[in-house]
Amino acid sequence: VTAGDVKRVLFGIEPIPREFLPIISSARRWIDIERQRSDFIPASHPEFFDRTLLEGDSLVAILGPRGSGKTTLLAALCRTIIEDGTDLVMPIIRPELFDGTDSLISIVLANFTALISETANTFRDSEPMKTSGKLPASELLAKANRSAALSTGAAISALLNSRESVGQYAVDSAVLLRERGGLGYALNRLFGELRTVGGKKTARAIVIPIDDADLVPGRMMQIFSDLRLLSSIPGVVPVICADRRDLHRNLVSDVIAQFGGRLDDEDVRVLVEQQIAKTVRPNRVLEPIQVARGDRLSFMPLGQPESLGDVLRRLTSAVENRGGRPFGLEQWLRDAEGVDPFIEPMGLDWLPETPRGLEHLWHVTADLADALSVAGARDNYGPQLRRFIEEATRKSPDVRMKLDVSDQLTGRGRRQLVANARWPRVSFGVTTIGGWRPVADTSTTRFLIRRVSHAIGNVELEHLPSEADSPNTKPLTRDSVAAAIVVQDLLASAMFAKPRPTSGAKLGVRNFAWLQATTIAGQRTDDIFVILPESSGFHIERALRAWNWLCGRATRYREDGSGTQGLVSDAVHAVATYWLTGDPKILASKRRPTIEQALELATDEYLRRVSNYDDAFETFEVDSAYCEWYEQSLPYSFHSCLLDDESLRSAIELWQAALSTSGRTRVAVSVLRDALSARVYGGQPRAPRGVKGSESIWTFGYKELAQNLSSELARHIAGFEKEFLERTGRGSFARDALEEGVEIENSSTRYAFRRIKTAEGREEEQLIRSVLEQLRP
Amino acid sequence: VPAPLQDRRIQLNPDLLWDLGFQSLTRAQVSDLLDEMYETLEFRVGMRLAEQMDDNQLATFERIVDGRDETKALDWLTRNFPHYREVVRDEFEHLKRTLRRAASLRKDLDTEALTTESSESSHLETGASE
Repeated sequence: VTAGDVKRVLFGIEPIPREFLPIISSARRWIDIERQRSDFIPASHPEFFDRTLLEGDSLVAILGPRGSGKTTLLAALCRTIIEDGTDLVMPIIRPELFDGTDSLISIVLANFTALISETANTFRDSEPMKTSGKLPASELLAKANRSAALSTGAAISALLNSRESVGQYAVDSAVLLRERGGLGYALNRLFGELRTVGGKKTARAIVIPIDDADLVPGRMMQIFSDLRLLSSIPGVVPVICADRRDLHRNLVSDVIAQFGGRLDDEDVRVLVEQQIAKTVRPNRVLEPIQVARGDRLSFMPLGQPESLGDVLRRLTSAVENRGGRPFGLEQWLRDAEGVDPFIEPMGLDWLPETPRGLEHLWHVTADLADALSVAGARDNYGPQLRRFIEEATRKSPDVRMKLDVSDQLTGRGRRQLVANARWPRVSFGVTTIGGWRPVADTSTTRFLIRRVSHAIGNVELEHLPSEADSPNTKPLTRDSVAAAIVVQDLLASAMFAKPRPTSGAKLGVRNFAWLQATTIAGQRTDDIFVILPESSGFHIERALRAWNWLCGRATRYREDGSGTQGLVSDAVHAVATYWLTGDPKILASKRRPTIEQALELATDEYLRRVSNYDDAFETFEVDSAYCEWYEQSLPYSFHSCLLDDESLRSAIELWQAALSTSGRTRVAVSVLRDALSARVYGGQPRAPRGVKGSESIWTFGYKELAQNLSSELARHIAGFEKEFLERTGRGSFARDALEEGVEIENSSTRYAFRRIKTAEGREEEQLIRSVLEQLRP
Repeated sequence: VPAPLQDRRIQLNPDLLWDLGFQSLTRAQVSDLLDEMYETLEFRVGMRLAEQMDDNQLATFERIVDGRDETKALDWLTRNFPHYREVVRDEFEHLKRTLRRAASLRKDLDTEALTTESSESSHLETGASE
């Protein structure tokens, strides 16, 4: 560290006091360490550093979840300010390390004490102080210290720890009592001097960085109060890092501790929100920059030679060498590389967003890959596997899994272990997709994956003979099989694989965004999406998978503007193969049957299958609810529209032919319309079951789907809607009947109304609304 | 002569939601939801009545409804669909049943989650000791 450095880095004052060197050199070391970590922050980020941040009278808050890079950002911010050379940056304060008698103010003052004692000459001899006859900074500081000790209630302890005399304490107490706001006044004077020390004409800002300001339950109120006091002093800018949720939680606990039973929950919430709103201003909040989706695979922790993508690849081959088939991961890695993160983000969604999360995943993956690579008689990678599953499934939905392992003798006397992961029940939730909370206890080969809020059963594995009975048999422990299967199944069907016909039904938010944004016949689809793995064995799997696939195709067609011809073909194909035969292998074989062949499969078999689920929403059970929507309503739309009798076959062919050549769409749609109109307007639908509303839903469903495919097509279809609306308008028939027989009364002597909306109330409201929507197709 | 209408009127009131198990709502939420329940009822009853009408009846009733003559509409309904009040009552009961099931399912799931929470804790402890 040279004197030039010192000048540039810190105050810009002359001469450079020797005492500065240790402080600056330690600051530089710290800065250099943080510099490496913060290199991923683009300097061009518009929010990153703006001098206006240091102006104004409120603190700067860096808010973000744990591991999101708040500390790194704080360090980078400090570095930038120091390099800018205008302002003074104090050492970072960490309230979690405070002693019992420490307060934020006392620590700030202690830092200044250290600074002043090491640079005594500079402060005492500075020009403004000499000429103005003001008190030297050290005296101002001592006064501020005493005021702080008195006002924070830690006066006695502080006194015992200080060199001040009892007499001085008494004098200060008297002054403090005489002058209201003594601490604020003392701090104002002190910081006023510090800002102009060294003869600077323009007062510098004093930046007080505070890391993890939220990690001090029991002291948050005091810290907030100190922060407000510091912020109110001109030129003093506290910069805090905090997790908004923890901040809130700790403040709540403080308020409750302070006021006990005198406040109800709502009062506490309001009080805390007011505190936060008053202290943290939205326009002075910085958020750590998230690692872009496209960059996550190439993330490389400091000092490591491999990227995250490389480590995942290593895991793939390790699982493969163990007899596992990690095709999902492989495929996923392949797909992810070509993914444009803005257009097709689904393949990268599961990766953590924060640097710390990525780093953790990197280590967990590397640990598992290493453990799997070790050749040994015993498989001993349970803990690594468990951590990997926990990490990799953190962001995926929650299902409880049953793992079945059995051994079979093959024709050649070879013993083969067969394992299947099955999901015995899936919660049909009104909640959105949450996170996996898996626990894999490999010592007893029990796997438990529970939904965050909805728990569903617990299954244990049967004991298996582990002895090999043939020299050709590869000895595999249960752990080994379980590991391969779990990794494979999770990777392939739940997390890594993009929606493909052969992967598990993944009717997820990510690939259905456009459909979710559309209300179809009053129903929103996003409240019933759950990822089902291939092995779930659900009879609804077919429809989910087909829809998943079909909608994925639709999105692609729509995005690349390649028209609807392919989709119509795909739709017919999917309906014919999945919904009607239920055989996923047909599509997997990639041999696309002709339209005629597909239509041959469109028999009443499908309708027969779904006819058992008439009372879907009546019972509110997961499978029937799925069926109502996916197996009945929507497929029925396609069935009714696209697949039925002879005339429709030719209509579809004509339609397709027309769509394939431009300019004939109108003719094609007109043919289709003629073929369908009889079913839409008159007569009964051909479906043998009396599903309520299905007839109405299909018109809407078809129209909405068409709208997403081609606006031109949608315009032509709109004709159907008009008449349909006229029919449904008959809801008004009941207006008079209801006016006579039903009345609304809003008052009640029994209902204990909540004073303001609560989370539970919102849930109830949402549930009622969703039920009502279902009843009103 | 039918019994006094007032005696047989269905009341959509906050107590109904309370009894169905929805007990965390504000006054405004309850009021909005009651309105929405009324609309749902109206829609379902209307659809049921329309389903039972032939084309002539549909056309006639549509005309009467469009004419906004409430008495005439009720007369017509009483004459042609004397059971319409039962339809209203049926649909009301159906609405209540469905909401009650939803509330009870939600409660079950919450309880189940709590149970698992505690069983998982013990599960983890067992695993650790092993």
